[in-house]
Amino acid sequence: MVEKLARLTADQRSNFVAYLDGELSEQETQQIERLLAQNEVARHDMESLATVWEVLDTLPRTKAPDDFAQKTIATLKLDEQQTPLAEQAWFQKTQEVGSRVLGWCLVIACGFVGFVLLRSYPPSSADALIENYPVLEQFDSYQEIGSVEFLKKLQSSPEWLKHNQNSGEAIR
Amino acid sequence: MNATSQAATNPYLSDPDVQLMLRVREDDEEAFAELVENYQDRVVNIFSTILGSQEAAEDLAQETFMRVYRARRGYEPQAKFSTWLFRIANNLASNARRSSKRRKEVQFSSGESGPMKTGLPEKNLAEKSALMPARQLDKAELVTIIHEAMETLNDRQRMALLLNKFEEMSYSDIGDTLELSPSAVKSLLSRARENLRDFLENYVQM
Repeated sequence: MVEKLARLTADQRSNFVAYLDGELSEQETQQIERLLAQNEVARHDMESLATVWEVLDTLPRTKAPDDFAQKTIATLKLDEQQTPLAEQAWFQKTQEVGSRVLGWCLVIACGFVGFVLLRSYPPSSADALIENYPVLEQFDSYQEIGSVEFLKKLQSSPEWLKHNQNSGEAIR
Repeated sequence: MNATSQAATNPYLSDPDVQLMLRVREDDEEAFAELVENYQDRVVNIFSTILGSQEAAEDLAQETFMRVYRARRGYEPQAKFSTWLFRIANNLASNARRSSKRRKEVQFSSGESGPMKTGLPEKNLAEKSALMPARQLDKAELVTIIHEAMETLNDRQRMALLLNKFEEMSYSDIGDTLELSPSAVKSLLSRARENLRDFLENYVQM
């Protein structure tokens, strides 16, 4: 049995406001209601807290002026115009898109360079064939000649020199 | 993913103001104007009670909405829109009160020597009324006394009280706004109302 004038605990007092706000669990609510039924101090405490809440209704409710939204939007626009270029939304978006495009260009360029490098190094057998194509084209003739010594002798022979001279005159 | 399953994964998507804010994120100016109109009176009222000045309240409310707009690109619905809005408002109110206190300190320290004139009508009124406890206060006097009582609260108590009183926010929502647990909000509000009572019982019959 709770005494009529028993002092309240800190915990009970802190539950009073939550009780008035409807924020207590069912069990806590019942405990508070039992206490209120038996304890005058609790009832007085609760009433005074409720009065404080009602007194706050005296505070006037202030309203924004009718053109508040328009003014806010106008101020925002003005603010955006005065914002440095680097902080403006459209500039940031353009910068973002620009850096993405640049990034992709770099990736493509790197890919191309990589492709070229891979193709040229290490040299493939096809590259050697292409490089020696003029020799391969005349390979049968070179085989018939047999050796380099023969060509050297031919170059220094008087008959060959005379033949070359005649051919040059004929061309002129 | 359709709208119903999105709302199931993110409960805040069912908040119509969150939907408006998502349109603001896509630069929809009409949606922003609608949001401002939905909340302008509530934000101005809270600031006005905290700062005691309609003009300062309007300026701060405007700054609140401007911050909302500037933050639109990174907006993700992780709370009710009102919770997010009042969190911004709370930060601005705390900053405004801090700088207003600093200004007052500067004024007092640079003032003339001799007996300090407070120049605060509330203070004079409180002293006058304290001498006449039985006198019936008129509404204007009572409002002044309530403002004075609110001054005895700290910033968090004051904001929690106003969100509770004027916005009828639950402890859970107040907790989200002030970044506190619901049990911390419970003790915050309990202390706030007890502090108010301690002050007001000198003037109002309890």
